[in-house]
Amino acid sequence: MIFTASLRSEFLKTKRSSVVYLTLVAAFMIPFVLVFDHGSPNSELIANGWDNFYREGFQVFAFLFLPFFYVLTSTLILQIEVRCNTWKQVLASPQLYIHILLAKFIVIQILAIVFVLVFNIYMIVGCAIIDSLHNLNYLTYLERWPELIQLNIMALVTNVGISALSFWLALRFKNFIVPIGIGILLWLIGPTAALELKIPHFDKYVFVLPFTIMAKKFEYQRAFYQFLSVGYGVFFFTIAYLEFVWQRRSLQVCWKKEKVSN
Amino acid sequence: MSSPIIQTHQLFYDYAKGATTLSNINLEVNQGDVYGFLGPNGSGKTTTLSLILGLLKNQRGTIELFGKNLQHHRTEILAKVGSLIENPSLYVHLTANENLEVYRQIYKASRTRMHEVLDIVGLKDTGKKLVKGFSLGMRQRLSLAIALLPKPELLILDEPTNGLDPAGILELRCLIGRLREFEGITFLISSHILSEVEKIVNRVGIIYKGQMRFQGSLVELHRLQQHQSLVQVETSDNLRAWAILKSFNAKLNESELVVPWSNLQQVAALNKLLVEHDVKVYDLHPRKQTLETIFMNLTSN
Repeated sequence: MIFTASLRSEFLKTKRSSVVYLTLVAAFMIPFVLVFDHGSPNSELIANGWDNFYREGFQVFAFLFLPFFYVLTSTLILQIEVRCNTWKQVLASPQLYIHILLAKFIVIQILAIVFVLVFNIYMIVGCAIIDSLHNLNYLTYLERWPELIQLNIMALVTNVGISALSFWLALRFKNFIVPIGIGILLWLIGPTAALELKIPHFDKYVFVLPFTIMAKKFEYQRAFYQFLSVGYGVFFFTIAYLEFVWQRRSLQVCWKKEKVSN
Repeated sequence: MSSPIIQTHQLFYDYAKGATTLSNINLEVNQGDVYGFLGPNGSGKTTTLSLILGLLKNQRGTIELFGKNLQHHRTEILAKVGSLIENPSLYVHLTANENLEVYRQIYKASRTRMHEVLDIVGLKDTGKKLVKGFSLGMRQRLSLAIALLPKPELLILDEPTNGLDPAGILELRCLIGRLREFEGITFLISSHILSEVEKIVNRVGIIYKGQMRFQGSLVELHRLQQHQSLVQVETSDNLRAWAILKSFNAKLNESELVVPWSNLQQVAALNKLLVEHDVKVYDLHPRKQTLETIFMNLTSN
């Protein structure tokens, strides 16, 4: 069975779905607020205006918007099958279970990349507006584009664990509200435990990982947190897959079958 | 004799502990059959079909399709099977064409085949209309188009006439006949209404409360119908008449004397026998069983 056919099928299903609008609208919110909130330029901040503008927006984006984007998108993507009553048709088609799940997961990752790209485009447009309104030159800082790309990639990688966890929750619960509710609750635990309770090693909690890319405290351990996030991602996706298969066949049979098919 | 396309052996299924949904189901569908899988709502038809398609985890027993075990050759088998289980499974935010596109490459079907199946089910001209604007009948036909997309060797249809008007039902019957004749497709069709499928099936399986009550050809079902037809006899002395008609397998239920019959000559013969033994015959009332009453008898306590 060809994986690309499954992937193409999953992309087709997102056409005209709310995930597309979510991607475009949610990415617009931070730049929109920042532009309107910018006000008159502060002479002390002009020297490092771009950093203040971009980093302020990006921090909120990476730590709040991107995790919630994954929670919502995972739920919406899997709800397409639930709402349309199409799971049985998908499962009665000649696709390997791993292809079905991996295709859905990749669609979510690609939507997240688009989300990040669109956010950056809106930020640049926002910058151009601020430049023209206040006669500034924030846009010249775009020459530091490798730094920007690195920051964006780090944001995506530190969110891999969250995306796989959200995917598992969305796959597990047929109800639309439950995975979103759990996702919000798990996110809220992060700042509460880290700031209020000051629990040790809480920096390794999956929903806290995106915070490490901007915080000075974790400057020299960023690679570790990136790997940790990928590790979480593999772990949660494997659980999601095993549970999905376990509901339909004994795992022993599954391994034998995968061997036969391949 | 044609080879079995579907063969289940001692299939059991429980949705919850202690609540047996299926018990010892041995289903056999042969190549070229139009197999009517009948039973009232909640008898276990959809559960059986879901197991055959691998939608439910097989708890006990074996399922073989095309001579191969479903557990070990799932994708290989499903590539040859089209299915429509319960309500239409469609992406309502997409068009008819897009719904078929979702499955086209998975089934390795060509674009020509896609247009062909839309033409077969009469949905060629729906254009950019989204499925959410389709009537239930149109949705059912589009589901059938998806089931036909892979040029299946086996088509499993669960209650396919749901939501279809009388003309649509008639059309579906003709379509099944055509597909069986020209494309050699084997059908497994479930329904809770015998009269709906009686005209198109050649083999029947009747399930009730998770157990197979009958499985055989339509001819065998008709034979059963004849065996179960009774003539009610009213005489001057029913007890004596019962003794005389013992060779006819007569039964005396309280004061009612009934005798099985399969043709009118038999009725005449038993009348003659009673008269010869000086028993006055007041009434001979044949109570012929219809397939519907046989079905009702098989699917009741």
